[in-house]
Amino acid sequence: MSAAQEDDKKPGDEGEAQIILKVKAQDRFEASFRMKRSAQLIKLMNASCERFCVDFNSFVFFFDGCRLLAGQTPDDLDMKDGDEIEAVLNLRGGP
Amino acid sequence: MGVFVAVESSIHGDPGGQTCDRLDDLIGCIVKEHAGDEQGELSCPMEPVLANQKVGEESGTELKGTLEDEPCDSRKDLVFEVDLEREGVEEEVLAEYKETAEESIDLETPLIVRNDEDGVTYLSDSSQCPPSEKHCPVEAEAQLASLLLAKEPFTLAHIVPAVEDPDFRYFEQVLQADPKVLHVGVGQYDLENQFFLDLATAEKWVTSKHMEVLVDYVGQRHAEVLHRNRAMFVAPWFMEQLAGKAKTFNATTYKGRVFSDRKLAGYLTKKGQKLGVDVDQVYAPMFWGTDHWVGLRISLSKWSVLVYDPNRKLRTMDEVMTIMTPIAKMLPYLVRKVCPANFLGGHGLEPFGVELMADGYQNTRSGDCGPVALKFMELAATGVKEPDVDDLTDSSVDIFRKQYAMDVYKDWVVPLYMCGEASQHGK
Repeated sequence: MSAAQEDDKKPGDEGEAQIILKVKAQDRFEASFRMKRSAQLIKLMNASCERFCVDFNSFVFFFDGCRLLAGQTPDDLDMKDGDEIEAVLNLRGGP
Repeated sequence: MGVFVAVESSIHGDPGGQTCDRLDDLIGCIVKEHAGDEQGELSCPMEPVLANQKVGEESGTELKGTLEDEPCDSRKDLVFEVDLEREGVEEEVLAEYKETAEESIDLETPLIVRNDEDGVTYLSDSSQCPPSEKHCPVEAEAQLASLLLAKEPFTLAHIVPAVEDPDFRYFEQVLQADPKVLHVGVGQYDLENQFFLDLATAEKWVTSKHMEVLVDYVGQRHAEVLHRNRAMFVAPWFMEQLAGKAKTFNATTYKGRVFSDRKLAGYLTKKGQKLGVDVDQVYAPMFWGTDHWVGLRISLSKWSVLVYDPNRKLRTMDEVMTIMTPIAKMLPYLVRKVCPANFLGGHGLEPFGVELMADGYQNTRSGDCGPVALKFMELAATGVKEPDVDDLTDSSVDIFRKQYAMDVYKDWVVPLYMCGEASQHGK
């Protein structure tokens, strides 16, 4: 690693564990994301909605059958590399 | 040589004193200023770095985002550092990056950069978001809590309240004062005041989140009765996921394999709620078409599905059967997957029968199908005969919607703020 690259390295990034998670929507669309294990999953939710071109509130996210909360992190849920998150349409009904 | 590009939301003004309405204008302005950077004239913040983002690692291109050391909710300035000396910097990558940066101007959404080579999108290594702060109740909320806590505990005699709670107006007034207040960790949900206001409003459509919360709440409220009646409620996602498998189910030869994942089986094999062993009847909300909630009673002993439709005029029996036949065909495979063989009653893979609730209240004014479907299921699951589904009226629907909202608030929200304990996730 060059000196310039050493300089570029920012404090706090060293050794920060990352994880790759797959988001599957309606069993048809897939996207994979890499993020810090300690980052809140709202980042992934936002990015997934952006990737699938829908509003943020359009999807509800599940991991292992449990609904994901925005403030949870992969570490909180003991997620592993390659784990799959399911995005399900948030439905609205009335008549 | 590194090029430092400062990007700042136009609402906050330029740290260098310039104002640009568009992000690309701002980038342009600051790149032009870069000549003065080397003389120390660049005024962009260079303080602690909380974000670091890499793009195209394989090609050696590296883009880095830095944020001022502030909580992410209040962050104002975003600085990107672009190292143009690395090999493999391609204009199109930068263009894509710039485009992404422009989309991220509200800074509420994470900055993302797509790497199409390996199909993985890298989420920015931006600042650690602080845990959601616990709402601090105001005096009116404390008064509301004391009013609610003083009320008589729920009994089955009040399953369909005859009159509106005298404190509902005050409840509504307190929540309306700030509908955006977020209660973190309500059961397993984060709920805003608006959630309760929507639930309490007559004829207002409800979302799957409302149905999920209501099913969960009703299941807990009647836990003992349900256990006695060998019944349970499942979240709306159960039927959503089951219905979603219909296409694969029809197409495949080995139909049992469609249910090999744990997701669907997980709903029916919870501890103390194992289908066949502890439970014979499963009550499940289902979403029909694009806008209609119904309730289902899946009965193992009767090998049938009873549909509680709050507005039967919307669909003919043929249309109902078109929706329900795939469900009726798939259920035996799922049941066989989760149930011990001796609980199958010799039905094998015979499709479930489908029945439609013939009598009872109809929500012809529409708008209340979700709560009404749930009330139908609640009455059936608890075995309450008086009042019956025939006794419901538009007026009683108005009242029990309000009562659901007050009850969930009382039993799930108020305890969050008792004893001064924080209500963070994971608690």
